[in-house]
Amino acid sequence: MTTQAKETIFTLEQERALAKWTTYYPYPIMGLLEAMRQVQEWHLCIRPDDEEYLARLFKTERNHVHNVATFFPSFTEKPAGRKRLGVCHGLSCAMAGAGKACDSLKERLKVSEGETTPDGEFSWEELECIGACDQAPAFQVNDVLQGPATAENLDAALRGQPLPRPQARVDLASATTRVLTQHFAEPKLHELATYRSLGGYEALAKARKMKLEDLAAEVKKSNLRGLGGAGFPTGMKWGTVPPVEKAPERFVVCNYDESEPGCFKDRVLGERAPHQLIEGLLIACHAISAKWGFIFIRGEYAAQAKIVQAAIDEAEQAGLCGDVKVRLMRGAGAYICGLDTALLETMEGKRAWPRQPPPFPTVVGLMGKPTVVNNVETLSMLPHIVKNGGDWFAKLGVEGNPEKRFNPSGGTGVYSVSGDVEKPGIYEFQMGTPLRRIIEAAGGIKGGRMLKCVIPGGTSTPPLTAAEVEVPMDFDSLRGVGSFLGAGGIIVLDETRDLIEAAHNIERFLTHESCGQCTPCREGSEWTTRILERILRGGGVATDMTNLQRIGENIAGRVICALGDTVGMVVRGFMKKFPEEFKRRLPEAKS
Amino acid sequence: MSPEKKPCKVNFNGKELPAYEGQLAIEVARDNGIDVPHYCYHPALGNPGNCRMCVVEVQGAPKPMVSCRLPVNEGMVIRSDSEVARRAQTSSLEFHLVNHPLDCPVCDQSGECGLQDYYMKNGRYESQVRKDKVHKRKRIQAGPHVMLDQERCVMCTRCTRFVDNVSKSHDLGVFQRGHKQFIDVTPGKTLDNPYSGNVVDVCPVGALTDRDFRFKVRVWYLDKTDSVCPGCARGCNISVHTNTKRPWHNGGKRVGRLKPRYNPDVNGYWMCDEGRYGYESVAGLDLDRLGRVMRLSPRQELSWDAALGELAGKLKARGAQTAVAASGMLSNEDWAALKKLSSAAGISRFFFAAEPDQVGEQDELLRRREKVPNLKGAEAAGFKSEGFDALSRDLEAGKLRVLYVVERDLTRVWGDRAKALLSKAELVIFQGPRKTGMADLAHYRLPATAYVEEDGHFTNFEGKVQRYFQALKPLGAARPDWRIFDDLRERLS
Repeated sequence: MTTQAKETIFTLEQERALAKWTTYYPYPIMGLLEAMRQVQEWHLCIRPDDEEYLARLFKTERNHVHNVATFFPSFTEKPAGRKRLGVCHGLSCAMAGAGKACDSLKERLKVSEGETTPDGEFSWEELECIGACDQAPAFQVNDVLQGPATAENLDAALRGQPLPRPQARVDLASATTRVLTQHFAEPKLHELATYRSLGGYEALAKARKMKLEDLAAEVKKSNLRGLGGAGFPTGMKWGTVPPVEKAPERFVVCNYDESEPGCFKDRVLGERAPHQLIEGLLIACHAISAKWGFIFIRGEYAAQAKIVQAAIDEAEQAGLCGDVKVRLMRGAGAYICGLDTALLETMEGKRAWPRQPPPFPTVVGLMGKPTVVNNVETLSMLPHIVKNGGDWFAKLGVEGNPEKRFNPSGGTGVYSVSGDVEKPGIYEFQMGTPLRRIIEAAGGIKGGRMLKCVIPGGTSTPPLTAAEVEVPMDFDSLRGVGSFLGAGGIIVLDETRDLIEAAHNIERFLTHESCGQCTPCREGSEWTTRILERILRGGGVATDMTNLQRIGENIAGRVICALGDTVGMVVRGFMKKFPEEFKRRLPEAKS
Repeated sequence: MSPEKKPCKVNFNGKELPAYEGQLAIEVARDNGIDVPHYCYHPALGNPGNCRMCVVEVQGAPKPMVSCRLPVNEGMVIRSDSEVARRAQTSSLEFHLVNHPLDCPVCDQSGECGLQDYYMKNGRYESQVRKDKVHKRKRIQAGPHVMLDQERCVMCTRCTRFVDNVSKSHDLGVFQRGHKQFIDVTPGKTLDNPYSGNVVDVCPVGALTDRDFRFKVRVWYLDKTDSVCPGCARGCNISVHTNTKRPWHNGGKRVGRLKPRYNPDVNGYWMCDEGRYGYESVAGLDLDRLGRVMRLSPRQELSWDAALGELAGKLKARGAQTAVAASGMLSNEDWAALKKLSSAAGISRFFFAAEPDQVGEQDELLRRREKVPNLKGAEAAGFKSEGFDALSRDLEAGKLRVLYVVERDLTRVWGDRAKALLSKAELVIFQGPRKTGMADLAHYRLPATAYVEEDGHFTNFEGKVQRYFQALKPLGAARPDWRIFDDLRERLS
């Protein structure tokens, strides 16, 4: 009985398509996530029978498939709508009225969040940041970004009318020296011919002729640091990969899982200049002698995934990849995948529970093999470093000062600016450019209002006050003011903003995205969010601030990964920089 | 243990402790009798490091570290009892308790709960929680033996690691994520693997409890005695938990439960469900136990003295035509005494092999085909079993006139033929702890102790001789088999 039922869930064609995923990546299990997405698309959910089928196909167990399927919000147990609408309620989008957009969507569809219309056509959900803060309040249909959730746009989406892909504003005027965005005026930069006409892939050819130690030395000299947020020196990271004789199989993974609220630069870098990224990836593969290069892109970047895949195909056909296989893999809605070890777990067909180094991924990474994980922006820098030399790149940035434990940071940074500014968009500036200059380039505060608070690097980085905007934007300067450069997601909040609402928005996001593996983060994030919720409702008690402080301190440093640290850091950051905002909401503590 | 282990010294809580390079700090502590709080670490299930309870302070480290993922090296200075370490442990505990339902009064884990124990040892703080608890599902019948309460769970994942890596039955899993995450039975499955009871043992809190033990006895009323499971030839080391302080609890059962006892050479940390829940047959309700020495025709209760006197006389006359039908339930002491008795009485026919009545499933983990503990002990004592076919043939042919049945139910060996076959013998003696099908087919009934009522040794299938201890007083007039054999032998001379 059961075998018959199982035989009829998929057509022969579909079965072939699923089977393809078992051979598309170097290890069969790596195809699980993509196969699940495929099933979700066909059946609008993943049904028990589907799970059984996938478990057999990927030679794993049902509890494993269900474990992964229930972790990622892209996969549902009940059928989603054929058109799945998602409204972002990350901080920038919430500030731009995501709540109202949700209300109007609810009114139009007459179903609650997470539910499907009776005809099965639509379902809608509130999403965590979808990497489109410049389009706030952004919304998407079936993982494709549509633009701001205005009444007209929502109506168009409900009529089934496709909207043009929203183009991010990329600043081409303010900065004197730009690296990654220097050719962004070129409309067809995403095509191979255009990219090559501008000197593209010359750096790859040059790198392939260089001795590996020279290439490594050049990158070290450049002071390039991980631009995904950690700021770890790229050359140093590569240097920890064991020699080929010891571990012949090794991988490079491009972390294109950008999902930090406030950040959307990778979205734009990938869709506008995919070849710059692929060239960088191939240089990195060459540098560590890897034969596989992966690009792990977040699921919500469906349009970008198409563009990057097309570029990979072009590059392959042009013979640029050599003996390196470049493979794209899409995520399924988990912020934690932005963390390298969680990303690797996901690529292995598991839930994104971070690992606890040591060993570090460069030693034991994907499928236990040495793996370099680098961000889109970091990899995109490589062609320019190879072409112009490490010294040139280092000089663009800031010098180090060992006495002050200040590390050098080369090149430029690509900033996503959103929130209460006139011109949200992408801004590239040299490392060390004052934050104020970037905000000014973005047109300053919207409506001529006063600045209250800036989040410098994405919502995981503690906020700065208006008085702190002179800080140079580089990794170590920001540390000096108690924050981080992160991934350069600048969110500007003007004088009208309620910072408890902002803190609550961020903590709610972290609670939703906490992977649940370790206890302090899993429980502490929920607890913190509930306290902020209570304060917002007017139910604050005198001990709330000390308690929030204590909870935050107890999470920080006691958790497996950086997300947990963030949970404690954000609320403490807001309380430290803006204590009045809290105090006026709480009854006075009895002394 | 790999041969290249390099010994080193570690300073732990101010004491110099022996360790080896790379050993986990939590194991160094454990080996030296220091208890570092922990939930997720289990020596047989790994160290995911997710509970963050086993935090210690390490000299020179910028922040406290989890000792279950901390390899030690020479001269490392570690404290699990410092202010910093204690505070870190307590704060982790506090997070574990934020959404815990605190339903201790109705929780079977009370008294042996990791949350309670560490709260009383280190915590004792005043709750700062001013919010509703996150609610999850309670009272889930996970399988025939186990109840699941998702709200009490601390997400240590020991149970899922057990079903994935030890029983390999994959019938539990971690589903959903973040604070909404829970442990549940895998869809389409039930927690009915042959080792399911072990998840209750590994669960450090009350999330997984024994259905069999549910609401029966408070654990602090139980007495614990080291024993060996008689369920099969493996001889898993167990602890017999007996309830004698509150006889009105547990429906009158004297044995509350059986728990596995760690023995790296025999059963590790585990035991199978057959063994764990099979105690009813041996020491459960005591209702079908033999408690009196009886002659059945003419029916009369006898004193041991009278009965043994009568039987000795008969054995003396019929020794050569006597057969002993026994089983691997006998202890080494029993076999030795039987050996002496049979040579004194001239008995030379023995039948104790495991027939289909004592044979069951065998697997890679623990379970052995022979469902009795001590066939090896019989061999070691110099016994050899003939087949039961020979016994029935010779009974029918009149070659055997006396049958001494010890701890064996021949109705389960021979089925319907048993009554007719037994009627061929002029004397059938039945000796054992329970009535079984034999009780009414014998001429004499001699009550023997159950294994929980005696001291003894079993020799497992690998030849390991293991001691078990008396946990309960014998019921009624019951005596150990060896003593009955010895008493009979004395009366023969």
